[in-house]
Amino acid sequence: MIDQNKLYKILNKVDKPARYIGLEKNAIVKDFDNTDVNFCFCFPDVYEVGMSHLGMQILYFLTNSYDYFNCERAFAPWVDMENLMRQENISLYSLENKRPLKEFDILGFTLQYELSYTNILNMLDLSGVEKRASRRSEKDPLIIAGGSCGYNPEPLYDIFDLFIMGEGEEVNIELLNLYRKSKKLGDSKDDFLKKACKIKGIYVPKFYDVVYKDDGTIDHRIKFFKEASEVIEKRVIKNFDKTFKLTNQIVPYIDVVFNRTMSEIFRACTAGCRFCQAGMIYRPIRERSVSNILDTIEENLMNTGYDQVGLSSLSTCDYSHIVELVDGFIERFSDDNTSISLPSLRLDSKGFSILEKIEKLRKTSLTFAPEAGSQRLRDVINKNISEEDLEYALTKAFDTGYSSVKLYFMIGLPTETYDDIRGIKNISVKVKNLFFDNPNKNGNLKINTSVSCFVPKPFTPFQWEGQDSISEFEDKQSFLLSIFNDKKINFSYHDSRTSRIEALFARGDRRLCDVLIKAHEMGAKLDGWNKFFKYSIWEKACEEFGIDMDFYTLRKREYDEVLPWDFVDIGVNKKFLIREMEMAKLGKTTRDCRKGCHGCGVNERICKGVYCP
Amino acid sequence: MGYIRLIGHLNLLNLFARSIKRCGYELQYYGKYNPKPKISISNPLSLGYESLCEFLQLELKEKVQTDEFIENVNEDLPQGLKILEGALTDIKSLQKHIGYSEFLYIFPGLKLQFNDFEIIVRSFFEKEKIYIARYRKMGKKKIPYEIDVKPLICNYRAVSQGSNLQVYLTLTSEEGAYLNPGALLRSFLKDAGKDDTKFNDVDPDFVHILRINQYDHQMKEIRICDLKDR
Repeated sequence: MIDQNKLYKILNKVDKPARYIGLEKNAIVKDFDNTDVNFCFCFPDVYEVGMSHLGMQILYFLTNSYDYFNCERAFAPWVDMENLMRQENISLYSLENKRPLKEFDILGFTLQYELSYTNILNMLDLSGVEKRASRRSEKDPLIIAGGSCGYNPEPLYDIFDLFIMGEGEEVNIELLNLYRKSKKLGDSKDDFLKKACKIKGIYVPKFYDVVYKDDGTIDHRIKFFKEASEVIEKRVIKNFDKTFKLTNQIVPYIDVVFNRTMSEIFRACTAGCRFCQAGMIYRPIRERSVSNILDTIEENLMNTGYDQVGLSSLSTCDYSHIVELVDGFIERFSDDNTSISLPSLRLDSKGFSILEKIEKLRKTSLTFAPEAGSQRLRDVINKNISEEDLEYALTKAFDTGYSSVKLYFMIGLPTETYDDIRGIKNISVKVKNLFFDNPNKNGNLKINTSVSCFVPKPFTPFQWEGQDSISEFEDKQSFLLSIFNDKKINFSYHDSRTSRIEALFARGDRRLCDVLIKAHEMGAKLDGWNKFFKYSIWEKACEEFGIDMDFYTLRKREYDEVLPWDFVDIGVNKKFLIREMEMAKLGKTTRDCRKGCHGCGVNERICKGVYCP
Repeated sequence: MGYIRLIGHLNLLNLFARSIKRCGYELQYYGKYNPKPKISISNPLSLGYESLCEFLQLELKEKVQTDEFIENVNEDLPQGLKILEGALTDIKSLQKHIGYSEFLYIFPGLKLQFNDFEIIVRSFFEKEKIYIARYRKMGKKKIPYEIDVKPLICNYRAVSQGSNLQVYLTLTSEEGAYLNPGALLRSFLKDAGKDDTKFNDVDPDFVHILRINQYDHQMKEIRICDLKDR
């Protein structure tokens, strides 16, 4: 255990000390020394972000439901805490038993976004654990990872001993059971990894190597361990309605990003936007039944004491029984001051009829994500939202008293021209006019137009596309700045440099691992926070290893190039992605897959979803 | 109290509201679009201080058996938080009935003869004027100024408890005349450092500040069941 006296003292000196104390309602504290396997779930960002992550809560309660497993939590400390911990020589510790992370059997990190990678290294460093897997000893914990960024694990190949591909509910337990057996047998790390790589969905990077061509692209992969598989297939929960139900949640003492219970209603999305990674990697659609969801909500409310429920999915409206669910919610919970939050609600007529049902809902802000400024470009990216849709939704919204609107766009999308970019302003102005022309308007109009930079992601139809250069992004941003001169519209844009680093790692290969470790040594951390992000560090780190950032970010790939993540099978086949890319070039849309199957392959290779033939 | 002293005032209110809800009681909510439960704590304590005497006032939808309510909620509350006693009351605001707070400073690790300590404490608190630092905001700028808080200090007493030197303090604690014991402590340490350099090494963040009791305007113990709005 870490020195609690020292901890007690430094907690008086830091901002929001409750981040570091644990002991929250429903947290589970087990006997560390008498549990077979001690696992620490490590979230590479601050407490408030990590505690709002549904996946962590699911895996925490699932793992702890086994007597012989102990799952604890650790988060990245804020800078003030980190400095004091280093000064006082306090190791990063788990919140439950206040154990140094080094004492755990396994540290499991979740990979939610590329800019959190340096936080992983910083957390290992704060725990006194060697960052490179190849240099760690038998005594060090096993360091593993999972999560959406893990679908391209290669830039992290020498940091993690193994990666978990896909949904964790089954495979995590299989892996922990294997570890428990291996530990009893006294297996070495290698013995264990050789067994682990035979579990479907587990990737052990040290069993492979990559050979590059002269032009820097991949020639082929080599396998060192015969029994390791060539292709790593992602794991999915086939019967989502029967899988582990989250009926309990840890209730933080402080306000976090979401202060409510979360209930997952379905997984995946059928819209098929061509830039969206989540839309591809989580396929196919699997739903929970209405009664199952309502029962879970009831138990959750009882166990947590929260007065708000959030329904979680990629697109709430697309749940096939959404009306029934909302009606059921109102019937069961509306009396006891419990409110419901519906994120990702598409505001078509169905969306509005649902909003109207929840009369009590506060008229906060409405968010629309047209993503692109013109219909032409929206067709290219397959974002099936038309200006008529937007007009309909906003007229209705202003009629009912909303006055605050957020609009999200991207720049740098494939085939984009300055006409498309001008469209971003046109739409914003249109929203303004819709408000002032509305006789029923109420309140003070506020429009926030936010423009981010497109980052091509693996496993999307745009995975072969080049990203804009920083100067191209900046030209487009200054153009927008010059035409946005409306007091009612608040225009903001993202730093193109952070998007460039995201793109670098999103489609990176093994050679970037050195860059990452070097950048951390040079002080990179909390890169997701603008005030800490230093682009010059990344430039220098790349230079040191002769890495040309443009090769990874700007370069357009050919369809026949071997991509670093090709060995991962998400169920959606490459042919489908190529076909989608070709459709994009023609400016042709692909309908929502609920209206007809487009043969992405997931139904044949992984399992059938709700709408799969 | 342990780690629970690190929970801020608003978070503490949420904690109680959720705890009460978990025990199956329903708080009375007020407000149309964003209803909030009626629950408050008088004289909010700064983050990091401990207390043996806090007053929590809340409104429930239905009348409850007080003892049973306390027993149930106590079972749910985290270690370090406990309801000591409670009563049904008609008063609107408890805050109005509180006049004074008694605090305790504990200086762990301060090595000083008790006599010397007492002299330094006395010379500080017997001064005609005692200034503490405050900030006024002018736009984004913070402009420091000092105010005399001597009239807000009612009582002080230096003691030696085991190996620790301590100071008991009674401060006025009503609306518009609330003295924060932390601000006073900083002022004391600065002044005491001139008499004995050992005080310069005392980190104000490492001094324990503990509220012992709260009194009414006549400096008498407060019993909720006897309180009546005038």
